[in-house]
Amino acid sequence: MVDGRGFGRFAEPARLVLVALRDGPRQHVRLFDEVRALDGPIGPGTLYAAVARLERLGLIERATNGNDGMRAYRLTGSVAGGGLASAIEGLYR
Amino acid sequence: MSRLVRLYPGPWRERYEAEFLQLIEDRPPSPMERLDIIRGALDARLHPQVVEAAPEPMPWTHRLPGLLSLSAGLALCLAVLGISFGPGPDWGAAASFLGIAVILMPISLPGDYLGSQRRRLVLVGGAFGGSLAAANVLGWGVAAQVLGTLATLVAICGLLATAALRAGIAPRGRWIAVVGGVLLPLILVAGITLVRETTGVTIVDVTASTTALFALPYGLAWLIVGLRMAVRGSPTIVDRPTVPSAAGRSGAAEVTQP
Repeated sequence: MVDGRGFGRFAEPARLVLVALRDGPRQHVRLFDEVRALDGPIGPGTLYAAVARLERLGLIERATNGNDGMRAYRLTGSVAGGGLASAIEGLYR
Repeated sequence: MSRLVRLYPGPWRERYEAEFLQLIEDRPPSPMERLDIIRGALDARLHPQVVEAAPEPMPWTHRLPGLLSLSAGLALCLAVLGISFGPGPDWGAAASFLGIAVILMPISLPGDYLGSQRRRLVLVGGAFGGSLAAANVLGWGVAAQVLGTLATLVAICGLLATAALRAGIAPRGRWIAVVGGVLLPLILVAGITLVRETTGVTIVDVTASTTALFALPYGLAWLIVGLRMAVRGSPTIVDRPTVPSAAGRSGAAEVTQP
């Protein structure tokens, strides 16, 4: 059973993930670096808790990244196409 | 480091483990970050975001071989208990169970896995047939009796090992089944008989009733193997060979969309 609750303490890391992906797909290690650059030391556990929630809600998705198609993320179409602000707002509801 | 990742639930690991391991290899975590990974694992268990893809329903026919093996084991156990503790010496009912067990054991074995095990099965069948043929050629003297016994032993061990193979039991488990179910009881009977013949000391009074008890581990082994086979499922010889899907092979997990 998938948990249906909100982001809780992962809202802020999730926001940072969305912001980091604003300019296009990011390989997961680079995504980690960018999120940390935005807001200091976020651990891998927190990052992936946020990533899993964002992916479940359909806000981000895996993207093809050369030969390593499994390990990059990007914003989904609706978020990338102008829905970023409302998506971020939704994280804190 | 991968020990920390093992704290995460299976479906999560199916989806994220590879990249997560790569991440912590590229960016080795500090002690605080290790704690963060543990907290992340706890969160993934308490608030799962990833669910395992539902497996395809198993056709009922895939349960049949296991149920047959299970029934064979049960019939053998009943036969053994009937012979050992029944009113005797008329073991008619017990003998019927024995007959049922002997028929069900080979019937439960043919399946699509046979093709991949062709060489081993030919080896076992060859040893069995060769021993019987040699016994016939030699006439039923002592040497032939030894060969006949050997053939029976090969058949008994081979049947159980093949069933265990079909049930997906690992090589070590198969050896335990064969040694515990056949060889150990056999060695015990042989040892007791040898001691009695050479020293006259009777450890256990080896009558037909007590000897039958030594077949109980074999029956129990079939019960366990059959149970495992029934739970796991295995295509029968009439079923289309199972080709696991890509998702099935990788046990792919899915992130559910709301």
